This record gives sequence, structure tokens and C-alpha cells, in this order.
Amino acid sequence: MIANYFTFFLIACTNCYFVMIVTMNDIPLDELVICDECHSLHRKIKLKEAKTAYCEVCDNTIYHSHENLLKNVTALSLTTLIMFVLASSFAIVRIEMNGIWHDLTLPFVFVTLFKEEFFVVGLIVSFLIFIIPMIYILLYTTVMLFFNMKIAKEVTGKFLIVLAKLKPWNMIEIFLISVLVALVKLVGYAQIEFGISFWALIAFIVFNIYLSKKIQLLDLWDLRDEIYDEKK
Amino acid sequence: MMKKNEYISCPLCGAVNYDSGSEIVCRRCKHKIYHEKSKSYSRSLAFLITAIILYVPANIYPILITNQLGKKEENTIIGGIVSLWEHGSYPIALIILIASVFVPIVKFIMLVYLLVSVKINTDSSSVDKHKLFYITEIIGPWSMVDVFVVAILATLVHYTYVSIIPGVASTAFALMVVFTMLSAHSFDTRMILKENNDGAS
Repeated sequence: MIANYFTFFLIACTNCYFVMIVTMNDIPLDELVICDECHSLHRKIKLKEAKTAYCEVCDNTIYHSHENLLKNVTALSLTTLIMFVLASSFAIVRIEMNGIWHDLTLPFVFVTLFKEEFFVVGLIVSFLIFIIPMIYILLYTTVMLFFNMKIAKEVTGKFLIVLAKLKPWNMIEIFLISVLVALVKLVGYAQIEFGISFWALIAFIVFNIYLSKKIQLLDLWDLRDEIYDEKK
Repeated sequence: MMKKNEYISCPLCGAVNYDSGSEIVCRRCKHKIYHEKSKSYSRSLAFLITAIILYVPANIYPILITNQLGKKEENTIIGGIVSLWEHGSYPIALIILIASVFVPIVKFIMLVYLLVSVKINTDSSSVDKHKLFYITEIIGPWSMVDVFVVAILATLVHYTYVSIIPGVASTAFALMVVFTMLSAHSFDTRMILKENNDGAS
């Protein structure tokens, strides 16, 4: 009977599974998933730990299975938050010209731009590289802490929506590339020194990419359903 | 394959919902999934036109002004790339060339194509169009590199005898990137599905 409703099979490669396109409806909506990239409909399959499900049509990653998602992500988000505090409190790079040192710190980028009366660029840049990443990681950590305490179901839902909306505007990794480009431009004119925050910034970006790309918001929503249903 | 059109994933939480064709509220995050299609189309188009208009001053006016001992040197985006190339830093010149010239133009072409293909039936499949849209969303933010570089240089280099000031073009360019991203975000992916199914039936 079930075989009549859908056709799905697994192609087990060494390390991956493909999810087959669903041909009929009548399957509970929770068991379905749509590929981000090509929007084809798939039926979810249960994965073994630490495996990835790929789209049958376009080979895009659809979802991962995670071990101990709640504990790992809580720990990681706290680490990321600490890294962010470190990255924004000290100098990322320092340059020297004729004995005078100038620092680049995350919050000060926009202070300087405001002094030069570039309000629009200053606002946009400070939002993209400082304010939005800050709100993002703060909300992320809060959501994970609430999950751990099993409280505030409505609030976590709202926070997750905000996270989904902020996600495309988080450009901190592009900022890192820009720092490197700017330094190459300055080579030969000034003496350059990496500050403490440079390494913290790299750590922050690595963790941040893991939190926002490897852990999908879809996983967090599934986790949320799991956690608050248990409570009842 | 016709059944595909009846499902839609919520762009915020990824939950699969039945698509009734009009405004839907996601069953999981209780958030409105999409607004009216016509509104989404004109909003996307309006943002795109704004971005294309802003791209003109972004290329004409200087993005970087170097003030050295009272001597002003103005650099446009293209001029900056050329001088980097002449100084021999080819990888950096390539990064800037790709990020601030190719990416915006490719994005404009892709968005124009997607918007046109909603109104006029083109031969490409809906899977390809979805992929195209996905790529537009991914590459969009990377054109911010140039603006960030200018912001960083302006923060670091403000000495009495040498200083770097952002030019008018940096404002235009930053706004251009923001508007192209807004245009991509307000594009309703259901318009792709609808057109494809109409063409197939």
C-alpha cells in the first residue's frame, strides 16, 4: 500500500544518500522537504548519524543528521559569542606610518565614516559587519539557551523568524576578505601588524559559517518541535 | 510532476506547506509566506531598476580619494582595478574585478531574465530557473567587497599628510548592492513554477 503512494529509494554511496522525488501526495507534510536550490519536492528519509541527504535533481545538500544537536549547537553558539566579543573589542589590524599607530576595530569603522560625513555608507557598513552579526549571534545563543531550559516556546519561534530574515545580511566573512584586500593595498606604504582580534575574527567567522550553513534553520525548527512536544 | 506545484516550502523555517495560490500562513512558524504575486513582481522590478540606475554613478564617480600632501588622487572602480593590475597584484585585481564588476552585471542580467521569463514564456526549465535564482541570492553580497575595502582604508589611513576618503561612488555602490539584494528577496519563486506549468499543459 505504501509503495503505491510514493516511490523512493536510496542510492547508498560511500558517504551520501540521495532522496528521491515524491510523486504522490497524501504524505504527512512533516515528512516532506523541498530543495532550496531547485525547489523539487522530496520525502525525508532517516539518516544515520553524521550523514548528509542530497537532492536527487541538483545534488545540493538538503539536510544533515546531527549527533547531539542541542548540546553541540549550544556550546558552539556560546563559543561564537565569546569570539565575537573578542573580535570586536580589540584591534583587528594595526598600521604604522612615521611612528603613529592606527587601529582597525569593528565598531570603529563606522565612527570614522561618520566623521568623514559618509552617513549612508557608514550606516550600511556598520549594519552589515557589526550590528547584524551581533544581533544574529545574540539571538542564536538565546534561542539555544531557551531550548536547553525548555521555556518560552513563542519567543524562540519569533527569534527564529528574525534569524531567518537576518541571515542573508550577515556579511562578516566578506569583511574578512576585504581586510586582506585592503592590507595588500597598503603593503609598501605602511608597516602592518595583525592584532589579537584578527585571530578571534577568523575563529568567529569559521564558527559562524558552521552555525549558519551546516546547521540549517530547518534543523533548529525540527529541534524546537521535538523539544516542546516532549514537554507536553 | 504536476503535483509539485501544490507544495511550497516556507522561506523562513523550511516547513512544507500546501500552496493554495494566494496568501498562505506557514503552518509551523505562523508567518505569512508570500504576498500577492503582482505586488512581488512590481516590487522586485522597482528595486532592480533602482539598482541599475545607481550602478551608473557608482562607476562614473571616484570610489576612493587619496589625499597625499595636499595632492588629491581620485580613483574610480575600473581605475582602481587597472592601477592594481599595473602594480602587479593580479589576484587582488581579479578579486575586485569579479566582485565589483562581474557580480553586479551578472546579477542584473539574471534578475532581468527571471523577471522577463515570468511574463514571456522561455524554453528553460523551472529547475534551471530556480538554480539561477539560487545563484543570484548566493553571489549578491560578494559585491560588497569594494565598499568594505574603502571603509577599512578610510578607517586606517587618516594621517595629517596622507588620508583616504570614500568617494561618492561608494555610497552609490553600497546602495546598489542593497537594492539588488532587496530585489532578489522580493522575487516570488512561485512565479517560476506557475509559468512552467502553464507552458507544459
